[in-house]
Amino acid sequence: MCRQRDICLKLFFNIMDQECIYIKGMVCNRCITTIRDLLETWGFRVNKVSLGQVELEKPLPAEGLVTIKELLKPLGFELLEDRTTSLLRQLKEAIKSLIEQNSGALSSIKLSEFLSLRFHKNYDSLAEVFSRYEGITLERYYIVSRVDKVRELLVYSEETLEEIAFQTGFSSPQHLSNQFKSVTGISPSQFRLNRRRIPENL
Amino acid sequence: MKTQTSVFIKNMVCRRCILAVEAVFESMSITPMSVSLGEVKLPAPISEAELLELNDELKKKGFELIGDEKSVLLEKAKTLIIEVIHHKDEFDLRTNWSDFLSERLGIDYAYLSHLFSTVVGITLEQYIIRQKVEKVKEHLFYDELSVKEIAYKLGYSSVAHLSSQFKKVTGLTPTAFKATHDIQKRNPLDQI
Repeated sequence: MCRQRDICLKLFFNIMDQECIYIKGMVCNRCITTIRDLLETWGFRVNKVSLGQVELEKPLPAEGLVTIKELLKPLGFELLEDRTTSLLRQLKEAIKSLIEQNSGALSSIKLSEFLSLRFHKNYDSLAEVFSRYEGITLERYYIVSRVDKVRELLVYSEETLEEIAFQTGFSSPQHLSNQFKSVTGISPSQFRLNRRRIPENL
Repeated sequence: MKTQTSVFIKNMVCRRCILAVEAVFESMSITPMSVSLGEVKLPAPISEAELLELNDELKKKGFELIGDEKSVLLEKAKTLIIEVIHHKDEFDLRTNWSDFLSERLGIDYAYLSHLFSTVVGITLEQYIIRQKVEKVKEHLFYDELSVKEIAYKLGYSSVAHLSSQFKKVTGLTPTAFKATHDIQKRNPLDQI
């Protein structure tokens, strides 16, 4: 249970972190030097660069990946995603946009049906790939992402817990509270109170 | 009157090599007219002392100045091979290499081939195979094309042909190679 929560928390704060990035178009030692210089100039701490692969000292947040993508282009390199990484990314994006675009209607949508329709794939196979690589199930990820949305609403809106529960697809405030606590370790009202008291606290 | 001149550089294989060489010239306050793989055109000849300094600077980056005619010819042949295998997507690799090389270099293929084996230590054919295998490795790591698609792209008549050639060079089949996920198994193109 504890491990599960660690993973959830990690996902919660840094969705899509990566310690290794893969680069297309590297063919010689000058390419290695070029990449190392480029990343270090832009403040990324690099452990090791090999042909096609960069190991970073710290996991890279998603914005960093976008920056690197842009930096690589003029030099004739490309950021590489294998099929699995790309599928995992698309699954996460699909879940995010499902939550963002269906405020208030989420309880009537089944995640499995939504995803299998969207990806033209059997839900079981999607779920299997996801758990194998991400260490948590798709269903759990869906809950964590909705709790993420709840956090946002608790901080930036004045809505009651009941309204928030409705918007994020939880059947009741009680259900929301339970899930919120299982992910973050504290209750929604405690969370809101903490945020209000120390607004700059992360 | 000043006349333009060329210097020839060994081990340049990609765009980043061109950038690296440009940076070396810039650090010595020399402005080349053009820098291409293996050759830098200068507006005027440079002194012996400058050449020595240039060579030292280039060596730090893994390059080297070459002067004698035979080395220049061999380097040109290597560059042509690397260009069409690694950088020209539209080039049909089912080409007849001996025709292609002798035509582009304006030289008898038998002579080139003999010179290549004597100096480089592997045959020209073997060199071409190794460059192609290196490209196959790159594609395998990218995991974007199937082995069949890679075979087609690199001008192999069949997957079996690619696999047997690949195994002769690396000791592994393409599938087994891919399964190792060992990025260290790739080689820099100038060290082939």
